[in-house]
Amino acid sequence: MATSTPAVRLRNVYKAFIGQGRTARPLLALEDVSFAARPGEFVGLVGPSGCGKSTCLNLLAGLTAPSAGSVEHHGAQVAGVNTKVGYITQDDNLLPWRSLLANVELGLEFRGVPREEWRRRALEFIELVGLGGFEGHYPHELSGGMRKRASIIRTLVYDTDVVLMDEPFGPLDAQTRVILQAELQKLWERDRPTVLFVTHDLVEAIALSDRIFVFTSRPGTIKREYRVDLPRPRDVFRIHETTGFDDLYDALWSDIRAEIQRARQGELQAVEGSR
Amino acid sequence: MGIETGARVTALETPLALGPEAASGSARVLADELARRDRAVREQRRFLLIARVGVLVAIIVGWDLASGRLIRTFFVSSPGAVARQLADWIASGQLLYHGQFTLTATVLGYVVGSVAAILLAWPLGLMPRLFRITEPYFLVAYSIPAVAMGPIFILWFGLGLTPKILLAAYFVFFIVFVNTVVGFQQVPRGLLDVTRVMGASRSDLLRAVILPSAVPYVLAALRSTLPAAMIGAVVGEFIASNRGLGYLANAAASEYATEGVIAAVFVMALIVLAMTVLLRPLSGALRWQRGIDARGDIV
Ligand SMILES: Nc1ncnc2c1ncn2[C@@H]1O[C@H](COP(=O)(O)OP(=O)(O)O)[C@@H](O)[C@H]1O
Ligand SMILES: [Mg+2]
Repeated sequence: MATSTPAVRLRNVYKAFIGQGRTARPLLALEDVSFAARPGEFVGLVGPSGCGKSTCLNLLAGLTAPSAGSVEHHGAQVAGVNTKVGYITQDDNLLPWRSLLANVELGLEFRGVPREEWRRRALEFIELVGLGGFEGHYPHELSGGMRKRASIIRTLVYDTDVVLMDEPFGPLDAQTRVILQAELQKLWERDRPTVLFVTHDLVEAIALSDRIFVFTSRPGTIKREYRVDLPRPRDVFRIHETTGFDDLYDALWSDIRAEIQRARQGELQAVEGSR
Repeated sequence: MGIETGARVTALETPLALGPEAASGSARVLADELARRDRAVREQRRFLLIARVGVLVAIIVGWDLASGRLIRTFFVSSPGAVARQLADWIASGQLLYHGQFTLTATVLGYVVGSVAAILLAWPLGLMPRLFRITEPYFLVAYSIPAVAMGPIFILWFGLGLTPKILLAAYFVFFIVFVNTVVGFQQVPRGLLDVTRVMGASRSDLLRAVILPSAVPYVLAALRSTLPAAMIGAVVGEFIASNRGLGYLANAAASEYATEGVIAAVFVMALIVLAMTVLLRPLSGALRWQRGIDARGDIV
């Protein structure tokens, strides 16, 4: 177990962006980022906004290439779009012209799964998250929480061993969010994929993760790593009552607060420097 | 249990009975709401129809009263004279004869222009680099007043139907072309990224993402370009022709027969109106776009 290759791995990754236009200055989004996730592990990524969390997921999905360093999936370099991972983006990105059922079947269709199997698998997952009865509805006819469920099962239905999730519950109300966290935990327990879960909600990160990586503010790098040793399955509704929760929460929050302050001081100095 | 002290949260009894009666009450509310909506839609339709007919009657009556009193009949003719002119043309078969040429040029021009625009916009919309190369040339072609193409087409193709069809097609072409290119280019980046990670091939992307996303743009253009086709056909007939509604209007004008000009223009408008009604199903074709229906509002 200890010697097995990580499911995904970033090694000394740098990523610079150059904006549009002639006068645009390059911006360093990631600076020497290294981390790995073991097979079957649920990894939380937290850090101040703009620190490069989404960029890390984009790198692993092969939608963008690193400026330096290596991005690996089961030990192999990611080159070009990585169809071996599932990617649940921040926006639900459902196809508005497809019904819920057809949206959930999309990946099975692209991946050459036999047609007879699409319907059965899609319906199974739709039932699993309580969307039964809404198969024929179009995305604009579903609530925000329902669309979110749809976008999650649309990815889980084709069963990749690595799933990237970018603040999937961000825009939802607090109640729906906790309910979906519980559902996600249940879905994850089913097949135990490796999950990289970006969130700005520290409670959510603790409730779901085995390990949590905290990023520094931009340029992002890994500031600290936390192990979440709370027993599973966890009761996400009362996670804050679990022993050990408070300490972990305080530690995470003080890390992030320090980063936010550091970033703000950096900005102030930049302003003063320019005077 | 004993006496509890301190703050206490008390759950109140559910104030409303939520038994079977309540369920049947809800069903009734839903049925009533549906009936109310249907009634509102019907009333709205009837009101629209009456109001529109009312406007038409007002125009005709106003026109009739003004003609010869406020404005000289020579300029505006009169509803009666125009109706007599139309009746004459119908009886003599002239309306059918001239109408068919204009109708043919309009319909063929519309089809040729739309098809050409879509076929050309398709590859250009998918290949941004090719589009960047050719864009200035399309801009130049677009900035030529379409009317100016009339003499050129007549020079090339003579006085027959062909230049009119081409002129109608030219009027339609750029509207459909620009909309189709935009339709192909506006596909949300996120949808493309997500479907590519899902394993979509190039042809999957085209079929499942790019084409459906462009369709509303193309439909909108197809819906709005019919009048443009008619303008093109009639402009062609104005410039040089011995048949068609444009010729009819022109001939009447050269004889100072105002009622003839108005009658011809009236028929043109009627044709565009009829074709617009025929194309109306295009706008409701996409259920996924009918977001407003879901709110139960009157569309
Ligand atoms: N395509 C891009 N072009 C230019 N800058 C980008 C691009 N994507 C991200 N960035 C910049 O990189 C930084 C990190 O972005 P992101 O990974 O989205 O952060 P996070 O998800 O942690 O909020 C931000 O400052 C953002 O503005
Ligand atoms: Mg982000």
